[in-house]
Amino acid sequence: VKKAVQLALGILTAVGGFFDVGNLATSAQAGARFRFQLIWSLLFATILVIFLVEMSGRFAAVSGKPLPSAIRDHLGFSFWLGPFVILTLVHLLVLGAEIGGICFALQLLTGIGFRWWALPVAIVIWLFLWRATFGAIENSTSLLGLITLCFVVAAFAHHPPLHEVAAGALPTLPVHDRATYWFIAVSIIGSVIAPYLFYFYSSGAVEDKWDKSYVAVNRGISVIGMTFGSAIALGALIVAAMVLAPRGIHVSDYNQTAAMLTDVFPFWGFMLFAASMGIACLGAALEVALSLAYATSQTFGWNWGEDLHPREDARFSLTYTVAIFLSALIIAAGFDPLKLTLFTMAINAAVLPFVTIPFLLLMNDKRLLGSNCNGWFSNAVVVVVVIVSFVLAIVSIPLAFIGGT
Amino acid sequence: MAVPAMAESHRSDPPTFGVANAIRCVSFCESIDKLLRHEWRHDLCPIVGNTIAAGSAVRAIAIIGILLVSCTAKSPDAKLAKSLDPAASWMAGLAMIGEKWTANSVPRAYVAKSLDAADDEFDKTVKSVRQSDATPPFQKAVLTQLEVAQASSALMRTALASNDRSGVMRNCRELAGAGRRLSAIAEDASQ
Repeated sequence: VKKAVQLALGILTAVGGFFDVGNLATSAQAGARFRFQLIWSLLFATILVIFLVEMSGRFAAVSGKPLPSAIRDHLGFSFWLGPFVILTLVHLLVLGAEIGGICFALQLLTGIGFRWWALPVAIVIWLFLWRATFGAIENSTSLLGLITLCFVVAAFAHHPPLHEVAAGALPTLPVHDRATYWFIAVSIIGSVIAPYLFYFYSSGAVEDKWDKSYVAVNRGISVIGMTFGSAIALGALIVAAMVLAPRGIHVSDYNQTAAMLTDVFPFWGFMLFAASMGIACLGAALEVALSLAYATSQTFGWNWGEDLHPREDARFSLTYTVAIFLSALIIAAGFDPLKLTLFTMAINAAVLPFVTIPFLLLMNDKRLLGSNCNGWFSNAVVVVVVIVSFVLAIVSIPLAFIGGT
Repeated sequence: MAVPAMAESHRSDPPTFGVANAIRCVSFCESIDKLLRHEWRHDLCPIVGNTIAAGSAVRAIAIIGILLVSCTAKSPDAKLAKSLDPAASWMAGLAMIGEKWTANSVPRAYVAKSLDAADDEFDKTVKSVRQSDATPPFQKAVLTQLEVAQASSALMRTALASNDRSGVMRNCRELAGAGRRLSAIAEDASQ
């Protein structure tokens, strides 16, 4: 019974914690510009994220180690240092994008410019991490994040043409704006397979003291939670395709997306959008800041744990403190949150090999995982999807910049 | 019922994956599997290897970059047309936001912020049109729509301040029209 409750709670938190600023921005742009044509990239990324999240949970449950410390111990510090530096920079950008999302939600609710919110938001995130336990953070923000299901409700209420939605599940070549099409496809992949997810998930499994008996629970959470979580992103894409695309709105600014729920919820739509964005980004910002602190502490062998008092893991607490304020500076400096988000999500896809290669090597180490090692099918799926995403990212990012996106 | 001859001649068997392809696919997956399980991972990336790999990667990225730049060379009109998208999107966006305000679905402060952001985009686009190498007729056509948008945005701001819903709606229609025309002009130039 305890395991069933944990599975249910895990699925709920996975669904509630799935959606973030990256999913919102990329889904809205995809739907607004290409209607249902980019649904395939969301499905493609969802398959990979299910495999990767399942692997990171299985690894932590069986080995009792989180990913970064296992990579350092088994593949060597010098091997891990390069990917670690790259991932730290990506974490900072993602954290900046999430803080930008919270600030924009507050701008919608108050009318005060988003830049003014950067510092107060940074303080709130920092206070939350300083005071709260891992369980409180994981459960509160993720359960509140279920508000984002309003996108799924709105998508159904719009009665989208099902044959067109189904056709979007198969990759097709664009007839216009090719560079933008591939750039958004890559950004969608990067938004779903955000590297912070794996470090956060595996460290969380260690914090929650998972053991081998949690392998099945982990599988259920990753498959069901990620699938339903991705349904929220699909909902946002469908709503954008039904509301923004027919009006010729291509989403060049977050302001253009804020009224997208008001066709279905005329009175509450605007507030629902702002609340969804604010809560989803707050949850993600907490996870990214923690993930960065976990990865850094585990890489350098420091004490770590959100359930410890900050004085017991001072360097862990210092890491997230510095990260939060550095990332808030990006928003306070006036960077456009939407452009920052799209760029960061595309970079997420480009750095996927740095995340997945060390991870796959560990997942095939029989000394660590015994009979819970990866099978050939999981290896093949992850390698193929990572190669495709990487090639797409390397080609589309410069193309998008040259093309003026 | 007999199938017409023409339809019959175009009918073909559905593509099959085939046993040979399945075997090839499985053996590819197994090679990846073997590669991942190989013991060389414990002495991966010595410093020399890293430097060579980084050098090759930089060269490969530079070559891709040069190829992309050479493949995406466009006429000045097409280049300008590509940069008009945010302005056209804002015209359509303002039209929807204004319309939603008249239906009490969004607050006034949000409309005001959107007008600020849209005005910034219109000003930026006007500047880039004037500085571009595009042909004068194309520049003129684009500037006409941008001027309509700027004027409608200013009138919408006044109407918003005085709570004039019909005034806001009128300007929404103007903006939506200007957005459609600008998109059409940009599309013609891109083709």
